[in-house]
This record gives sequence, structure tokens and C-alpha cells, in this order.
Amino acid sequence: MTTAASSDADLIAAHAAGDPRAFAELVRRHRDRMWAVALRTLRDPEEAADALQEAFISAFRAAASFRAESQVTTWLHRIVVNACLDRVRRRQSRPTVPLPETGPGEPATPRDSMADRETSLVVQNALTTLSEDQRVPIVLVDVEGYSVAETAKMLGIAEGTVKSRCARGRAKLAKVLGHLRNPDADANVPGGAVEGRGVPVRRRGEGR
Amino acid sequence: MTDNARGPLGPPWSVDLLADLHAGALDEAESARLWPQVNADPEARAVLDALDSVKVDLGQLGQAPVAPMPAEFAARLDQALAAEARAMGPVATAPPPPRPVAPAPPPQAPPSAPVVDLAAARKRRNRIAAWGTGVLTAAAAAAAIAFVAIPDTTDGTAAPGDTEQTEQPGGAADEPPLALSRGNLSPAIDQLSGENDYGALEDAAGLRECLDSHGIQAEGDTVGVRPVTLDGEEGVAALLGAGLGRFQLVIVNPACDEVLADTELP
Repeated sequence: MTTAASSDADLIAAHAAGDPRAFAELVRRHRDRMWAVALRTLRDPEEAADALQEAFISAFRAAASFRAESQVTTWLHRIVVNACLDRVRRRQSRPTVPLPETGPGEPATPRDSMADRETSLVVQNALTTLSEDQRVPIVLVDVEGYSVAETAKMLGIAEGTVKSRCARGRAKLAKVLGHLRNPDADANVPGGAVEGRGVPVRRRGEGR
Repeated sequence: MTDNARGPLGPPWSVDLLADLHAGALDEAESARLWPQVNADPEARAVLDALDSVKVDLGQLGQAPVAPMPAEFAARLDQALAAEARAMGPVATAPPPPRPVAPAPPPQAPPSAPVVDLAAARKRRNRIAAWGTGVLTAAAAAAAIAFVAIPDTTDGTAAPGDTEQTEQPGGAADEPPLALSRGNLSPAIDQLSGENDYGALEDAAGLRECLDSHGIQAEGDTVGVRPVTLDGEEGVAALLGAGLGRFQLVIVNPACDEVLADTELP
């Protein structure tokens, strides 16, 4: 089998059957995407690298138990997220060590020059302004696409807590990202403080 | 009417209240009461629109092209996986006991997969590097040229000067590529010496042809050859003798259309 041309599921099967190169190919394919997931969740590159290592070793060992009903990427993604959340919990149980305000590998970009940056970098930077309690559920729900219920289960908190933390985080991001015209307004939105006139009539809230 | 925690339940609107409404965090009765007011108020709808924009931005972040994992971390990951592969021996020919795939660990649970102690690994690599350098220095008087294949990690039982290598069943060819990093190539001397896995280059003639195609003239014998990853990029590494006490490390990609590294190691 040519590993480079194989599907992810083929690679998992080949790895489980003893092919020494199959898992390396799987890692090569997904490493960067999973790195991004780990970095978004943990912010600290050293911790993200450790979490990713932990996750891939876990996947390496558990590959034989992989069942084809789920996609390899979904399976791998979940393992990486769980490894990251383990580290978040351990970090929260230790005395607080503040992380740098800017994200890993990201320049401390002045607000007025952000318009020239890639949107993803701007959003990534904005995420670093959130507390961990807000950032982690937002990353899981809004970035990684997990449902509120899945996120609540992964974090071991109530669904309502996930919703309210996401709500607070989005409100702050709306200010940081400039979607609210009056970002300094702490809570109330007086007339004329927001952008986006003439928006369509809203549906009910997400509540998923 | 006001909500002490969130602010007024009406114009001027509290962003927190609207964010809770938007996220479905309010109870049904309150939500049902507020939606008609919110839908009737352009200011409130604009706030909700801003929150929607945030969700769109975040969703796009998840789909955006990602920056590659830094080479240092990629190499570390490759090394950890190579160590894991060696520790496990032949990979999972018998399925492990069934267990849930990637279950969500309970709060405060220990990690499901132990992580190689990176600091210890770094120290161990440094020790190996120092040891390997010593071996090379001693071997230099006898070995003139070494060609090292980088894709595998050995246990340190290098055999410099043993250029009459034959493929050993269950040897390097069955092992994953050796992980190397441009920032620290010295361990390659130890890790490649005595290896005889030409990988994609197939055999000594393929290696020679590859080197010739890039104008690389080896001064001495091939000390070792092995598939490797260099900062995560696949290749074949050859350790060549380069004179008394010196080695030339050449790493090419599997197709041999690119030289990933060509350096002299002391």
C-alpha cells in the first residue's frame, strides 16, 4: 500500500496491522490542523505541543479500537480536544500563571493596524482577550463546531453554563472585533452605539 | 423593568442580556417575552447582528488555512512517536482490550496518554549526542566516509565503519522514520551509523545516482542510510565519511528532487 495515496481509515487499519509508516503518514496529514486546535484551546505553544504529543500517542495506542463508523479526523480531533481540556483542568487547579496577552507566535498588533491582517489572525488575537472560562467553550462551540450539549459534557459543566459563558465571550468579542461601534460601553447599548442598521428580523436564540 | 445581573430588560438594551438571549441562555418565559421587543427594536437587532458576526468570524477561523506546526515542535512530536513505536515493538498486531474511543475524561482525570517527559527527552538526546560525537571521534581514525540514512532511531549501538551492511529482517526497514531537526543534527551520527535502509532510494546504486544528480561527491564510504523526517518533512538521510573525524550528512526528499540538508558534522 502506498501510504501517501491511502485514506485515513486505510492508514489506521494499516497501522493496526503493523505498518510502521502508516501512523506517521496520518500524523503528517493532520498535524498542522490539530496543532491549530491545540493552540486555540491552550494558547501556550509549549502546552499545545505537549497536548498534541499526548493526543497522538493516545491515538497511536488506541488505533486498533477505532471504529470506521466515525471519521478518523473526527476521532482524532476529539482526542486532541480531550488532551487539551485535561491540561486546562490541570492548569486551573494550579496557582494562576498569567499567559501573555497576545497569542503564541502572534505579534502584538496595534489595534489600528489589524485591518491589514488576515481575519483569522485578528479573530485569533481577539480570542486571547477572553478569560479561559469563556474562551474554551467558545472555541469548542463556535470554532470547533461542537454542540452545547457535547461541550457541556466535555467540560463537565451545565449546558446553561456553556451558553452563558459563550454569551459573555461573544459580547466581549463583538466589542474587540469592532462589530459593536461603541466597544468601550461596558454593558448598556445606548442608541446609535451599534453597527449594522436595517438587519432582518431575528429568529429565536440558538439554544442548541 | 431591570435584571440586576444583566441590566435593563428593554431599551437601552444591555449587551449581556442580548447576548444571553442570543445564546439561548435565558429561560423560556423570559426569552418569549423579550423576543418581540427585540425584534421590534433596530438597536437591539443590531446588537444581535453583531453577535452573529462574531459567530461567523469564529466559524471561519475553524475553516481557515492553518499555519504549520513549528519545526521544533514537529520534530519533537516525531521523536516521541518514534520512541513510542520502538517501545511498543511491532505495532498492535493484536488488538488491545476494547475501550471507548477518545472518551471525554472526567474532570481532574489524569491524562489518558502519558506524555514523554520532554525535558528528560531533551537531556537524553543531548547525552546521546555527546556519546555519539565521542564514538565518531574515535571512529574517525578508521572510518573515512559515512553516509547516513536519517529515517530511524537506533538504540545507540552504532557500528561506525561497518560499511558491509545487509538488510536485517525486522530492522530499520520495519521502523518508522527517524525524526531529525535542523537545529540539532549531531545525534544523527549515532542514529544513522550502521543503518542500511535506503527507503525510497532502494539501494546503494539509487543513493549514488541521487547524490550524483545533485552534484554531491562523497569523499568516503557510506556510514549509514535511513529514512528520516527532517523537522517533520520526509526524506532519506545518508551519513558519509568526509575525512578524518568528519562526516557529511545529506538528506534528500524521497523523490530525490530536493536536497533537504547537506552539512558537515564534526
